[in-house]
Amino acid sequence: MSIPNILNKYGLQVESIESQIYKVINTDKVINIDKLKVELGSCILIISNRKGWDIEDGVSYKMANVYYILINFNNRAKAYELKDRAAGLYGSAFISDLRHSPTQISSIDTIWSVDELGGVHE
Amino acid sequence: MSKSIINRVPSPFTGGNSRLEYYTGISFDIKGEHIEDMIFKVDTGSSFTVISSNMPNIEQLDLIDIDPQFNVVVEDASGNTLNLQKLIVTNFQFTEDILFDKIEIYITNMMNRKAIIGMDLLSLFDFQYLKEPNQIKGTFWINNYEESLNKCRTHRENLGYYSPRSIMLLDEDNINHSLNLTQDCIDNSPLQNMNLGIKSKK
Repeated sequence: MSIPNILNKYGLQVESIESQIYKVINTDKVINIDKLKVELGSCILIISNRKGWDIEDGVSYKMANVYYILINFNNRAKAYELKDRAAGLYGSAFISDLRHSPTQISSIDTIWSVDELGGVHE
Repeated sequence: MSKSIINRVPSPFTGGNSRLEYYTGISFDIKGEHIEDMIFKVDTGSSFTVISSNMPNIEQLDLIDIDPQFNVVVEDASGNTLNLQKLIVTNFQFTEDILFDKIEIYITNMMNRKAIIGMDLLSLFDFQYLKEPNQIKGTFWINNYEESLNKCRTHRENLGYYSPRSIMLLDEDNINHSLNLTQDCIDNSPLQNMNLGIKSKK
């Protein structure tokens, strides 16, 4: 599905302010942030504070307003610039991003203290 | 009995959710910034609660000290060495019901965009993973959290913040002290000389 179609599906009216960057016009609309990110793929959203949870099958999905949408996950500097701009306009703003990375679908994250390893680093 | 759920949220990497992973969103304040719903992996094998310095919303805060006073060396699953620095954060909302007003966690710049809730924090509580036979995914619960928090409060007042690892050391000291007292009682008991089956472990 194309980006405009995805945004339309979520009822978001947007204007393109730069290549792959959209400003949301109807910022009062509360939507499921987590599901929007998955449909967009790798992206950065500038959003409001949480307005609630949409709970499905024991999983809590975040509901919030969206202010800006950046399709390029690596556009970090611009994202923080827009976050500051949104915070000035709406009181507070947060970054919520998704980097679709198939290599991190499964991972072993555990970390061991040195004491746990007998106090020795190999 | 007070009981609180560790909210399960989608994976920050895929947006999906699987029984094999358990993520939760935690809000806290650092350097005057409110961080909302940072996604932590609940990791019952990890010794530390730690966040990467390049997590969203904190990557521009310069939280890593160039010359840290408190550095801890750990290993990841592949045997790579990681340096962790202590980080005091405020208003750490672990669950909807459990708020640490000021708590010590760890931060590193040697881990990529990950945050982990480890056993240092989890083991302060009576926690359990509940999965009914008809459920695909289970849920982490914290039982008796008010009682556990009350036990930590004296330590928090003395130190000025919650330090899960210091609380653990204190708990272990208290247990060892109690065991020593028990052993002393046995050793010094008049019954010790009466061959009633009570024997010193010495």
